[in-house]
Amino acid sequence: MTFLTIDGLEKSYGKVRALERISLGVAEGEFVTLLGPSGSGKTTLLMSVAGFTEPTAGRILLGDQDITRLDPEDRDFGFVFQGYALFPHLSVADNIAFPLRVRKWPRARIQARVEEMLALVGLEAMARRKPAQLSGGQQQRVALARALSFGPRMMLLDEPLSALDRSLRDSMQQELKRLHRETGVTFLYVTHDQEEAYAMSDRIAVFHRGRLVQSGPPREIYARPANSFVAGFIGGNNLFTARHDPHSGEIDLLGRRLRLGHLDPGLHCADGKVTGWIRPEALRPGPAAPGELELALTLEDISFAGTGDRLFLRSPDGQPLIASQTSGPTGPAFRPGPITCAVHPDDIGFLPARQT
Amino acid sequence: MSDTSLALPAEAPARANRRAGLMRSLETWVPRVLTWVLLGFLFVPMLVVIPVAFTDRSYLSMPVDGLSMQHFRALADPSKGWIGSILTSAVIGVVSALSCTALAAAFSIGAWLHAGRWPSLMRVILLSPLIVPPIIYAVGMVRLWSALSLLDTWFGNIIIHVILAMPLAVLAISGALGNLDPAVVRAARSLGARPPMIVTGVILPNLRAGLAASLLLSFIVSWDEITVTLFVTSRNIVTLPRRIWTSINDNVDPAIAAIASLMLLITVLGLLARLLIWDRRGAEKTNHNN
Ligand SMILES: Nc1ncnc2c1ncn2[C@@H]1O[C@H](COP(=O)(O)OP(=O)(O)O)[C@@H](O)[C@H]1O
Ligand SMILES: [Mg+2]
Repeated sequence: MTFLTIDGLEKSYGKVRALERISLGVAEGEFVTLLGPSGSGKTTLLMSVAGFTEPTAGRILLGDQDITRLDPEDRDFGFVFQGYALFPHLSVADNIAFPLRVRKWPRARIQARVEEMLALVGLEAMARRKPAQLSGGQQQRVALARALSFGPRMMLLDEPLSALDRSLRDSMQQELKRLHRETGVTFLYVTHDQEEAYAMSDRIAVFHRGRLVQSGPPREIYARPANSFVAGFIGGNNLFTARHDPHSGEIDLLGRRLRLGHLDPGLHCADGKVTGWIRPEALRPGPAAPGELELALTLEDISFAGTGDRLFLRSPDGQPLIASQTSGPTGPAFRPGPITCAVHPDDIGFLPARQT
Repeated sequence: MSDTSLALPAEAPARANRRAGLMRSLETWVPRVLTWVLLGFLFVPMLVVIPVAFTDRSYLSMPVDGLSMQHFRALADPSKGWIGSILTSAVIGVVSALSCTALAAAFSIGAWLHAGRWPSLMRVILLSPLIVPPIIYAVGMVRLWSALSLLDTWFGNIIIHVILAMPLAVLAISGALGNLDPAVVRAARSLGARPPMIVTGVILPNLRAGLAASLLLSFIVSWDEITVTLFVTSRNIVTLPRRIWTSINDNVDPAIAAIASLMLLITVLGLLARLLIWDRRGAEKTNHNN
């Protein structure tokens, strides 16, 4: 059963349409991520759910209660802000106790809960410190503990890891997943980082220019992108155009003319153009093995990427492609010039033509 | 050509070194001398009042035949009016500093929460006493206050001092607000806090330094105010600056040197106390961090 229902939500700022008819359901205990580039409307949606932004149209339901016009202080949602927004004049313990004091909990119960929350985020030793005396990761934990302390009906998190450096981000991802598991609270999480979204979410909702373009489990988003935006920006795929001849069933693809069994004839558009995608790691330098497709490409540039190389290639019909090699420093040395690459036909995807 | 140019550098470094040494000593001495000259201009006129306060004559002068406490005794004599004026100034100063800070805090917090065109316009109006010369303001005030029968009243004076101190109070408090992340208000709301709790429990505690600065500055503005006071007071309200002014006009009474010395002493004691307390707190904080 859906716990949070967002129903036809719209928000305009003058002429700017920040959200266009967003409908999304979140199940109880689910970890749902709103993923999209900067300016795609993620924060606007999260702020509407929190009650800080009044939508122009549409409804937000919690269970069967309409909360669209409810004040944020009455929603009982835990909110974690991008810059943490800790109270600078209060100690860590007093920050965590703030929502409990507001709710007039008895003193003993507040103290017990604060200790419980400090243990949950591993900050027992920092209880008396002021926020300014903590590192970014520790401040983040305080913000989480504060938002969780009063038993929120749901957690809303707006890019909470974006201010942390990379190694800390990885460990905080694990920490967030653990908190989600241990508390069982529903998480609605915003990020522009697809790896973060893949790593943590039960379900991802992809945003582009104020629209919800696809929602589903991470593997599904990765394997079956609904349009070129999801395939390109979110999946990090190579996008290319190919020409399809509906009579012969053959396709002109990256300088080759061939017949592909799994190309759905319903996909092509009037002029026969289709958009396809290949994952960088599926494109492999070297001769084709049986069943693979061989492409004659030009290698234009190589960049070292730590775990391997990134090869910047161009097809005979002039389209740029990228191949990721995970061979590492022991792999063969590549030189710019003609190169043969192989790809398995199953690793080539095609997008529904209308939505490209 | 190439030979000479190769030979030259052998002597050049020595000269360059000498020049660099001269520059260095200039760089250290010029600022030092300038600093002392500046400090002299700042403090010598103030310090001059101290010997004058102990003069044995009845006019402003250095002591001639010995030191005398007579002018300090005059200050303590209620019939001379100095004590009354000090109290008047203190009451007006405290009341106007408190009211001014309360109003400035209310306005600044409101404008901070709801930024927009009206708050900005309002801010310009509140800051205007900073730009309008007090003498012009005084002329206008006389007409308005006589129409409202507020001339020479406590209430009328306090209002004027509140208005005159408002720019500094607003600047001090907005400055403190500028250091506060506006997201804390949203955070407090999401945690269930309502407006009274947000103001008293989140915003005001973070403005302590700004509020203290506002209280101090607006008290000083009031304590010091003479221009407008001269126009809007006569017999009822005689503030300390007004009494000093009158006594200079009448007979150049050395009592003003005595009162100046006392104020200097209080200021120095205040600064010392603050320095000591501040230093100790600073030391504690560093220890705590380690
Ligand atoms: N208060 C506002 N006034 C005007 N436009 C806004 C406001 N907030 C957001 N927008 C616009 O709405 C769009 C979506 O913004 P936002 O939700 O912040 O995106 P995201 O969080 O995905 O980066 C952007 O085009 C942004 O410029
Ligand atoms: Mg955002």
